[in-house]
This record gives sequence, C-alpha cells and structure tokens, in this order.
Amino acid sequence: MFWRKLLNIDSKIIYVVVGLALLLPVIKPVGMPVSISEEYTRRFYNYLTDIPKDAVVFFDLSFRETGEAELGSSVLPAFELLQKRGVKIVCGGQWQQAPFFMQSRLEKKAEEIGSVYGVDWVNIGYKPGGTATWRAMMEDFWKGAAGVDCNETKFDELPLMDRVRKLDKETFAAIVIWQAGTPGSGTWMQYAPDIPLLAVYMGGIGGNARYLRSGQVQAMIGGMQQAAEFEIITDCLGDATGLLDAQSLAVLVVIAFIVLGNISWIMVKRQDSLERSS
Amino acid sequence: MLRREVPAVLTTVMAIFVFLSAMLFPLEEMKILARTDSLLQFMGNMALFLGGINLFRLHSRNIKKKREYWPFSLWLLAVFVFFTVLGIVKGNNDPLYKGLYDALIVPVNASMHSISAFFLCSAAFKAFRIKNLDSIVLMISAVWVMLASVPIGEIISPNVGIVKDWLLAVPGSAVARAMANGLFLAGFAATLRIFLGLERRHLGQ
Amino acid sequence: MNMDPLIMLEAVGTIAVLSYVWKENAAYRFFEFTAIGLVAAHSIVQTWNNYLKPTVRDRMIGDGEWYLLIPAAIGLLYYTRVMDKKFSWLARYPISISIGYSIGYSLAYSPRPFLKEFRNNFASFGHVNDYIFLLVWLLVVFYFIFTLMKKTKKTLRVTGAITRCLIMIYMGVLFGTSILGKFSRLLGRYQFLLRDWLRLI
Repeated sequence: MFWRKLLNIDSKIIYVVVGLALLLPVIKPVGMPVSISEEYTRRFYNYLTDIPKDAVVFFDLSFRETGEAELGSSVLPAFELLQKRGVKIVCGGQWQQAPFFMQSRLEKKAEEIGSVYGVDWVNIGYKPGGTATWRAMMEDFWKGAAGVDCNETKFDELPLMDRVRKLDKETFAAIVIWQAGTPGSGTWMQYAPDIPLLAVYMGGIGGNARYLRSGQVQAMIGGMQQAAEFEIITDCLGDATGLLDAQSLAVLVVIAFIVLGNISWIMVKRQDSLERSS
Repeated sequence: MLRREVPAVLTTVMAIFVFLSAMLFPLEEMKILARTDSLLQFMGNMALFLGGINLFRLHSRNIKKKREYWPFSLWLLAVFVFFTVLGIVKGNNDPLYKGLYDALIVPVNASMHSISAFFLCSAAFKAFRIKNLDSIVLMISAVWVMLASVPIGEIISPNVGIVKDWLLAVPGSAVARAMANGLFLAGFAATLRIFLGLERRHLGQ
Repeated sequence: MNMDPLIMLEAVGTIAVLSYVWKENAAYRFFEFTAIGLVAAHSIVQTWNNYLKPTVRDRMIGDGEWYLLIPAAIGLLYYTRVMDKKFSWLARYPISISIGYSIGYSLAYSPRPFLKEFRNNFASFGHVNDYIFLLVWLLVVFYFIFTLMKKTKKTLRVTGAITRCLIMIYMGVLFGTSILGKFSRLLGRYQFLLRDWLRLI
C-alpha cells in the first residue's frame, strides 16, 4: 500500500523537495573540497597562460541568459587572467544575447583590474547574418562587423581594432568559445580550422570530448564543477564555486528519486502479480 | 517559369558558383566569395522586420477574434513597439534599454528554461524504469556522470572522476563520433538533393 | 532587500515564471508575453544598430558602395511573403539565392571536419584506449548500417546487443549532463533571488 502511494505521489511534492534541496545549500554552503581536473581544467588554464603577451584572443560568447550562472562565471576569470597577462581580447558572439548582457559584467571586471576599453579589449557585440558574417570577417573584419562595436562606437576610435583587420590565425592567437548549443564551435572547425580553439560547454563536456582527440579543440571545460575549478585555479572566485554544494545535493536527490521510483515500481508490480495469482 | 523554374535553377547555379569557387581557391585567396559573402550578409539582414511583422499579424488576429489571452497579446504588441523604438532611437547603450533587458529578458528566459529541472526530477522518479539491460546501463552511466560531476563524487572516491573521464573520452566519444558521422552523411545527402534540384520544399514546391 | 526598481522587477519576473511549476497562472502569462515582445524587439534592434545602420551610413553613403542597393533590393523581396498572395512568389528569389549559397558552402566545407575526425580514428595506436575507441566506433557505425539485418543474423544480434549498451552509456552521459545543465540554470536564479535581491547570502 505504502509503495503504491509512493509511486502515485503528487508531482508537486517532488517539486518542493527538489526546490528545497537546491535552495538550502545556496543559503548555507558547506564548502565541499574541489580538486582540479588535469585533463580538462589544468590543460585549459595552461593553454591560456601560454598565450604570448600582447597577442589577441577572440571570445565567442555563444549562449543566452540561461547560461549566465555557469558559462558567465568562467568568462570573467578567463578575461581577468588574460588581461592581467597583457593579452588583448575581442569579444563577439554567434548568439545575440550574451555579447549584449555580458558587456556590463565585463565592464565591471575591466574597471576592477584596470583594463582600458578600446585599448586592452573590445566587444563587437552580436553581428547578424550567420556564417556569411564570419566568412566576411575573415576577408575584412571591419566590413564584416560593420565597423562598429556593441555600443555603436566606430572601430577607428578603438586603437585595438587597428590590429584586427582579418579574422585569421595571423591576427588571433586563439578563439575561446562559451557555447550553450548550436551554432557553436562547429562554425570555427568548419571555417577557421587553423585558429586554435578552446571551448567551454554548458552542463558538461558530454560527447564533445572527441574533439580533443581529433585536435579540433585544443582544450575544453564543461559544467559547473569545472567552471568552479577554473575559478579556483585562476584565483577569481565567483558564482560557480558558491553553487557547487547545491548541485551536489540536487544530484543526490535525483539519484534518490530514481532509486525510490524503481523500488516502488518493483514492489507494486510484485504485489499486483501476487494479487492476480491468488 | 519565373515563379518556379527560375528560382529552382538559381539555387543550383548559386550552389555551383560557391562550390567551385571554394574548391578552386584556398579560403584566404577567395576574393570573389569574400565579396559575395558580404553581399549575402547584407541581403539576409534586410529581412530584419519579417519576424516582427509576423508577430504583429499573429497577435492582431488574437485581439481581433478575442481569443484566449488576447489582452496579453495587446500588451505584447505595445511592449514590442516601445522596445523597438527605444532601442533604435536611443541605441544599445541607453540605460533604460539595458535596464529593461536585464530586468525582464534575462530573468524570464533563464527562469523559463530552469523550470524544466523540476520536471526532469519528476520524470526521473516516475518514468526512469529499469526494465532491461539497456536501461540498467543507461541508469548506471547517468548516475555515474552526475556523481562524478559534483564534489560529492570526489568525496566518495577519487576513482569516480577517473572512470567518468574515461567514459567521456573513450566509449562516449566513440559513440558520439559515430552518431555525428551518421548525421553528417544524412545531412550531406539532403544537401545534395537540393543541389541536384530533387528537393524543392524551400521554394514551397 | 534590494529596493532598486529594476532588481525588484527582475525578482517579480523570476518568481512569476517559477510559479508555473505549481500551476499555470496569469502572472506567468504576463511575463511570458512581455518577454516574447522584448526578445522580438531586441532582435530587430541588434540587427539595425550593430549592422544595418552602420553599413548603410558608412559603407553605402560614406564610402559610396552603392552596389549594395542590389542585394538590398533582392532582400526586400522577402517581405512579399507577408503581402498580397499575388506577389508572394517573389520571395523565392532571395530564398533560393541564400539556400543555394549555403548549400555550395556546405558541400565544399562540411566534409572537412568530418574527414578530420574520420582520419583520427586510425591516426594513432599507441595506447589500448585507441583500440577500444576504434572498436566502439566501428561497432556503432555497423550497428546503424546493418540495423535491418539484426533480426536474422545471430552474430549481428549479439554485437547489436553490445552496441546498444555502448550507445546507452553515451545516452546516460547526455542525460546526466542535461540534468546538471538544468540545475545550474535554476541555481543561477536562486542565487539572484537570495544574493542580489534579498541579500541573504
């Protein structure tokens, strides 16, 4: 009887349990230990720190508001790490949301570390037109990007853009993409395979690990844990580190649900077959 | 002829032009395509108001026929016009424009996608059943990946993470690659059908 | 509590949308419709401000690239789709140009990443994992190719069962990462409510 009741439990009770499991550790985090993944986080960090001073890196912010907590939290440490080392950054994106809403977060971070807009970094914003736009930028970055940044400031007023005339391997030492779906790293693998590519994936690395094997992506991280690892390794603690405990508890709750759901299903099935035979 | 045949021929001619240009010249030497890319980009962006017009048509019908939620449709159109005018007149950098984006689009979009976490948990309880070997493997793999992706996995055993990394890098990647290869071949075949004029659905035929 | 009107608005919007989990309600609908209107507007604004306006101002008028009027005219034909049905066929011209153009590129460039991955399967055999990788890849490829025969051939039935398990491993990886992704989205919202709005953490 108990198992049948459990099996038919109102979904709203599940929602409340999940909601609380996620909420409580956010209010009071335990601070679980986090170790750095050598294969992914350390490799990603090392690649960034090996980029020579004064080189230019392209940040492709291809995600929307949903990725703000997870992906957004690793954009800022990467930005800080490179800027402090004197690497110049040009931001843009294949999705229209992140290049727009990340601008204020990047401005805040730049102010904190003393980076000068237009000299050390530029955000060109979202440029519509899909792959035709990127291909146009490969021939003439200024024309392809319509010659203005995300605030409609002309490129000739931004000294850094003097160095950025083409989207090619001579101009950019690497492309770092934060992606939550498609379009994403596929664009660069197809049209700019010569530029080293680093990727940050939403949720986790999943099946994208195969690109490391084929050398199409040089380094990658994915998911909240590796975002937190990256925050720790760069000594730039942010959102991800604070949310890891909550995600741990939520995972335990989901596993408990799967186990309980199956036990109650088996018990009810057994009870039904007993009733039928009697 | 102008309505059907010419657009169909145009598709193939454009495809041949781009294909040959791309095959004959390396990417950095493709001056012709670089120029036409820019033209295509400009042509495509002329359609910027098309989505807005469709939105207007759809919601105007809702209002006219007083369908369910029609007052919301009215509100939607008002918001749409206001935000478009504000953005175009004041520019991206306007504090009100940025503020409204942060205060409304960011939370609503992020929250809408996040509520599926609740539904997924409910589904995990009510629908994730171990009925055969396949579902057992699926469950073990899913649980393992989830555990290894949070600090609790590391606390249980350092091997949890090592096994997950191996699962991702070797069998997971191999399966993903095989599936991606299949998808590519299917996509390529579909592209070839349009190229050869066998598929004309994009022209409404 | 942060009383900034925009933060308050963001908090109300977040709570209203999250309330959908409990029951569909008017507050949720209100914010849903508001967001649709804003997103559609933002898309136009971004295209106009970031691309069309500067291109027309600087390239067409400034640099005298008047030939841009030709693609502009063809692009305007897109709008005949929403005009009188008598003219809607004209929209097929820009559509056929852009589809043909994309197909040409796709035929020329999409095989490259595919072939790079394909070649990598046989690139190195220095570690046992390389052999396992190749074996799994071959099994899955053959599973899809010989799916129809699996009921008749015993060998294919056995390898099919093994391959299905391998595919399930990958599906499990996807399920796990998908759940984690959903959690991180929700946690981002919780963090906003508790830290930026209520200032509890």
